[in-house]
Amino acid sequence: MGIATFCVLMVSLLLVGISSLFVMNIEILLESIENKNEIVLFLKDSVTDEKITDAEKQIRNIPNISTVKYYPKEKALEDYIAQMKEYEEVFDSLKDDNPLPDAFNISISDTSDMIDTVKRLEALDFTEKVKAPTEFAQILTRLRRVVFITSLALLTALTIVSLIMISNSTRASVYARRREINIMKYVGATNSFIRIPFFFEGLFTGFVSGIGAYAVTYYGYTALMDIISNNISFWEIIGVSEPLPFSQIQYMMLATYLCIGAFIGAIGSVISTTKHLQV
Amino acid sequence: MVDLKNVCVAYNKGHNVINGIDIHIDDGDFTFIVGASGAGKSTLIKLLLKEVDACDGTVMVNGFNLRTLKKNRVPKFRRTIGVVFQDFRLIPSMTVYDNIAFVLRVINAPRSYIKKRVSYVIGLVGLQNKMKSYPNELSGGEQQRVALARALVNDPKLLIADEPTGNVDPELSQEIVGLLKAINACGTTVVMVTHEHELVKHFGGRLININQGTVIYDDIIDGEAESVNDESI
Repeated sequence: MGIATFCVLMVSLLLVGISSLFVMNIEILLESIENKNEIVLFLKDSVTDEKITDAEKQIRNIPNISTVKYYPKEKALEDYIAQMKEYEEVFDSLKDDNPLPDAFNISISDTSDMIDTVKRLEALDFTEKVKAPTEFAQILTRLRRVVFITSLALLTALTIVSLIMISNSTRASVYARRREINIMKYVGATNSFIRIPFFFEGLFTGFVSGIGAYAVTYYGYTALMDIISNNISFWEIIGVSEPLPFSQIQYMMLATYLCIGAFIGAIGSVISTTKHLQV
Repeated sequence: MVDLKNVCVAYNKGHNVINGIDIHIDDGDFTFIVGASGAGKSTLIKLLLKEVDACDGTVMVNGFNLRTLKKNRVPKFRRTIGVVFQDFRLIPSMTVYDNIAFVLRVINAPRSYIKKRVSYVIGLVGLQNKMKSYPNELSGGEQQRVALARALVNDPKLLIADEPTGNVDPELSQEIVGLLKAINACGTTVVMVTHEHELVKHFGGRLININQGTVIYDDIIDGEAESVNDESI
């Protein structure tokens, strides 16, 4: 196995690795947007302070509810005043007779079930009204599905292309040594005796390719993230705190590269050798 | 010992390349096999090496029944045979020593034995001073002698030489057949396929002529003898 196999294997691993990173970041982006979609449940005026705890319990018992936060009308008015300082006087006059309702800010685990969850919330006897971005949730759900299918197709296609490239590369490398294999067969070598060196060679090449791919991914990804986050507040513009930090996935990435590289290298060599063992 | 009885080999159904051959070669024999191109000589060699299977008859080589021999026993069988090819088939990236030694490494022979045995066979073919040379640094005759040493290192019962003189000049051809005769004199059975009639005439021995997959002549001829029937060759 030569430099060609090493390069092909490294590029193939990189293709799959970079695509995975891209998909992971898209997922984080969608998740972050999803988390910003809160449902607001307004309580009826008749709900007394004593019943608030019971109401919160009932909400939490509904499936798909992730967090429930009580938002009293006093806090709501304060927030309004803070947001619209020019009308401060108008709002100040309302302090004694606050017309805003008490509410709960609710987040859910699965946005695709938002409509169903909203229906359940509306059915509660203390609910005055439920405000939820159901249309946006539907769009987001569809977008997620598209991203999932596209990334799955992309990864599958890249994996297949990589396997074909690696298979051709190892086949060429083994073909160059077919004479050696042929002679070994004639002098009575067993198939496993012939395969073992090719297996370890493939394993080693795959391992080294994995290290190479990891190094390129590490420096490439961190450099790209530095450029994006330093030059403009990119993530703030799109409303997401920050991209996936490489430190969070570095060990997983390294292990995956090494395992896949070594596995494909070793198996590719053994499969390519088999053809020449039929003597 | 080689014992072929009513053996047929066919690559395509209905077309036999070897057609009902009967050959018996005793231990210690030296046998020339001759025949025109496409007569079935190469297929016969492949049959003896268990590279192809007979579709009919009995094939016994060195006590192994090749028709019933299981795949996993083929390496064990091949270790009883030495093979020399027309194109030498040496590994270019290995030295002369390693080209010969790897045969013993294949069978996990001890290092000390490998060293001793390889040195001995290199001496037999007269290449002591070329041990560290690579095949591309050797002449055709020297390469064939390395191939011979490689075939001998495992002390085979049967040595099959497939046109071993095909790539060397006539003088070296005689030298190589001379070496094969010397090896035979030590007790190794030798089967040599050739199309060089002059060599057969010069050395003599048992001659089998194959044509269209059948044996058309099988007899012993005298070396350098005028009595050799040219039609038989």
